[in-house]
Formats: sequence, structure tokens, C-alpha cells
Amino acid sequence: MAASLLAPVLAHGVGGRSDLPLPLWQVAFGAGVAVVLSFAIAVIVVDRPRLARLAVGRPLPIGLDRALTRVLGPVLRVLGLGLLVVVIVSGLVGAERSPDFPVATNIAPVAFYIVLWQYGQAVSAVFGNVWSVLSPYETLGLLGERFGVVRRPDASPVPPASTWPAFVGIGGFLWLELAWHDNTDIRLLGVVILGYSVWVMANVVRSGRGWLQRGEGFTVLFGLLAAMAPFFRGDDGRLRVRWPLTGLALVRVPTSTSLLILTVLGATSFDGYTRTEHWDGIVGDATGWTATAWATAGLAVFVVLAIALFLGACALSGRLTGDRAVDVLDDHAPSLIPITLGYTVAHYFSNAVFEGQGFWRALSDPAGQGWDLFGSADHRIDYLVVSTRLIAWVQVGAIVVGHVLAVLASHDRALERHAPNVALRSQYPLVAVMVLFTVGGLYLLSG
Amino acid sequence: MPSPRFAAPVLALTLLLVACGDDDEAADPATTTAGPAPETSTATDTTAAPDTTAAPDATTTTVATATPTSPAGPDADVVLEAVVEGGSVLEGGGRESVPLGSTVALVVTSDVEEEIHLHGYDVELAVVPGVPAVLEFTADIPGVFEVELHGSGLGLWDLEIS
Repeated sequence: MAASLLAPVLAHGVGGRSDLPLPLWQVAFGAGVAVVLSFAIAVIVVDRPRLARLAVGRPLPIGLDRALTRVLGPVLRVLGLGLLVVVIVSGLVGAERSPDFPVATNIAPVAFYIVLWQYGQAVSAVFGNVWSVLSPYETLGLLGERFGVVRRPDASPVPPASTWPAFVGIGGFLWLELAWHDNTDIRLLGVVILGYSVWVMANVVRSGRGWLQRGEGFTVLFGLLAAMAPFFRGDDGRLRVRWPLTGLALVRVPTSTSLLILTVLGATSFDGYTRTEHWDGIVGDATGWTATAWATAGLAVFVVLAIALFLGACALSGRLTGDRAVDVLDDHAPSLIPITLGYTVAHYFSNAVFEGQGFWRALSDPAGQGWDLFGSADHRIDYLVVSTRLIAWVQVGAIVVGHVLAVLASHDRALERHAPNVALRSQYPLVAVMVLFTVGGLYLLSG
Repeated sequence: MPSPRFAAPVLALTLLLVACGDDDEAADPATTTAGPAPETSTATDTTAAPDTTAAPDATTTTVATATPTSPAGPDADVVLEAVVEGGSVLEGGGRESVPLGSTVALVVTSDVEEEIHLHGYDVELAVVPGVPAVLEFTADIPGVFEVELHGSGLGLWDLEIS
């Protein structure tokens, strides 16, 4: 019996509690605000691009910079690497749950699906590229350089690595989380995380630490989100502060990364869709691998739909300006990052708050050994810390704010490329599809 | 489905009672009772009865007399019934609205040994083949919660508590 206990607790990769459906009036309100603000942006912001200039920012005080870099940085490195080891070991040899507190489950699922995925995205968007020190792969790479195992950055240059592994990595993670029926099997999570880590480090050894920025999916995704953040490290190595969002104006992405952004968007929508009655009606009683097959198909449909819609809008936009659809895609995909983040917040805010408590609990007994390291092993998730009303407004707010920021960023990007009148016209299809994403996102939250 | 007359047989039902960390929630959200018995208080008494089962592990054990129910079913504000046979849900299931604060009784009959799990509230109840199992709880946490069978992984209800 114990073997089957854990899986459903975290079904969907994330908790057995879902949010209440948004009432239709709230959906209509959010959609209305999004559309009106999009129109306002189009009318008001039409003269010249501004974000790139603002993205320069100003340096943080040198004392704060040093404290963060010399003290907090190493602490986070140790934590990141330590957590990876704890999660792999707990997954490979730990028990599924504490012998003393049956609700206290192994740390691997909650660390992987809640902390890495949900908190990783949120923290990157708010505090900047924290992953560059938290990432155990960066730290291992640095250690490898010191001991001469990993090619140093100043060694003879290698041809730039492909960026597609990052796309495949994130796609694989999403499939595991949202489609695979046994997604909280700790042994398999242990094997997957260990296998992924070995593969990543093999690439780092071969191509140098720089490979992570091109081939490691979480590094790429968190890096994109960090571009929105108000904190960043300038070319001179100093920590700087700037207006949120402005950094997106400096982001240039390859096509694989554009598709990665749209894949995350489509997958998050699919996760919302699987909580609707409509999906229940389709899947019915399916369990096990049948359920995996259905979910794989559903996930694929949502991802392909997201890509097709946006690529279609890019093609239309390109026709108006004489650009290739793929070039428009790569130009404007970074503008979608706020929408992606908005979707993530809308779908996972409550989950992160509630299941995050499960992580705190799991830290006390990561491998289900009956430990109580921090006195939190018997913590019971408090589902009343945030009210359902607050959750609903966070959902609507995240989607609408994400939408507005995306329209702003996209508009700014168009003005970098074209004269104001051409830019405005080229924006119509893109804004239209963003409105579609936003209304669709809100609609899914009402199901 | 067996007729509702197990005059006395005492069913050993393992109930996963999560550690009562919060005093607010210590009022024991789930209890297994039978028939028209009133809610939590009686059931808690039952829980107090010692050594009625030999259930191992760290789960708190509770006992329910299966005197299932006159046709009217258990005495709860909301009574939901489901019948599971041959690995699929024959009767019941789906999305159900439940008013916040009401008492709920989930009555599940299965043709194989099973275990009902109400997510979020984290309460579980063993199901003996052919005997309607009654999982009672007070719907005091808002949200949408799945009710699932652990053996098969079959989903029964999504309870929309608001």
C-alpha cells in the first residue's frame, strides 16, 4: 500500500488541491482590461523604442555588491549543490514517506516540480539570474576548471554548441511533469535527475562551462526570466539595478529558444486544461499508461497550438513588413516571456504557497527516514494561509499584467526595427494573438 | 452490492490521520462512521476505542461499524455515492459542488480492495470489496480537491468546495 500512496498526492506533478474556477465576471473583467490597455499602449507608445536605453540601469552600492557576491553567492552555491545531492540520494535510496508522519513525503518530487520549476521561475523574474550561482552545474563546472577537468573559458575557442538540447530538456521535463502517469515515482526521479546531471556535466567537461547557457534548459529558461528582473550583472561584473522588464529589450534568441518559450506557454495552458471537466470527459477512467498516452497527446496539441498561433501571427506581421516569419518569431518571442510568467504565476501561485510548505517539511526528513532535522517533519500544510479570493485576484492580475508587459515589450521591439507607422501595423497580428493567449488563459482558469 | 445488514461486524478501517499539528484542524476532518450516526463527535469516540485492529504502520486506526445506512444514507449535509466495478466508475463521480463548512459523506462501493484518498484534506479510508465504505469529513478548506482510489489510481470526484 505504501508504494502507491505518494503518487496521487502530487498528481499533475503538483498537489491534489486545485484552485476554484474563476467566476465569469472576473474573467470578462480581466479580458476587458487587457484589451483596453493593449489599445492604449498602441496609441500612446508609438514614437521610439525606449526599453534598451533604460536597461543600462545603475550600479548597486559597492558594499552591497561585495556582500552579495562574496558572501551570499558562495552560500547559494553550497546550497544548490547540496540540495542536488540530497535530492538524488533521497530519490535513489530513500523511502517514499516518513515512518512517523505519513503525510511527510520524500523530498525529490517537491524539490523537482515545486521548488525548481515554480520557485525557480519566480525567483529568477524577481531577483535576476540567481540560478547562475544556485545551479549545481555551474558550481561543478567551476570546480572542474580549478582542477583542470573542465576546459577553461580562455582556452582555445570551440565552435558554439547547439541550443536545441535546452529545448529538448525543458520539453522532457514538462512531459514528465504533465503527461507521465507516475510522475512522483521517487526512484525514477532519482534516476532521471542523476542521468540528466551526468549528461549535462559531460557536455560541460567537453565544451566548457559556457555550454550551460546554450544547452542546459533550466539555465536558458531562468536566464530569459532573469532578463525581466530589476537586478543584473553588467559587463563590468558589477551588480546593477534597472526598471523591471527593460532587460528584455536586450535579449536575442535563436529559434530553439523561441520554441522553448512557446512550449512552456502551451504546457502551462495544458496543465490548466487538465483541471477542467472537459478534459475529465475526454480521458474518463483512463489510468496508467493509457492516461500517459492521452496526456501526451493533449500536451502536444497545446504546445503545437501555441506555436502555430504565434508563428501564424509572425507570418502575417512579416508579410506587412517584408520579413521572414522565423525572423519575426525570434525577434518577438522574448516579448512573450511576461505572458509565460503570468501563466506560471496564475496556475502555480497557490500550489507554490501550499506545496512549498511540503518542501519545508521534507527538508527535515528528505529521504523518509523518520528524521526531524529542523523540527518541521510533522508540519501540516495550511491551506488557509491565502484566501481563495486572493488567489483568484493573483490569477487575474498575473495574466493581465503579463499581457500588458508583453504588448509593451513587443511594441518596443517593433519600433527598434521599423518606422513608427510600419511598426504599428506590424503589431496588429501579434497583439491579436497575445489577446487570444490572455483571454484563453483566463478562460481556462474558469473551467 | 450486499444488502445493508451487517448487524454487528466491525470493520477495521485504516484511516490516515495526519499529525494533528494545528489545533484548529485538530477537529479531525475525517471520520469514518456508519449509518445515521451523527458527525464527528461520535466518530471521535470510536477512534478512542483502543486496540480494535491490528493495523501496522504509523497510521491512526479507526473503527467503523458498517451498518450502512438506510436508503436515506448517512446523516451528512452532502452525501455522494460511487460504485466501482471492473476498474471503472459505474455510478457517481465527476465534479461536485460542496458548500464550504458542510459535512460530507462519501460512500464508495468497490468490487476489489481499495483505498479512498481525499487530497488536500489528506484522509484515507480502506474499502473492503462489496461493502460500502463511508468517508465523512467537514468541508472546511476551500478549493477543488480530488477524491481518488489509490489501488487503481482511478479518479472518483473533484469536489469543488466553496
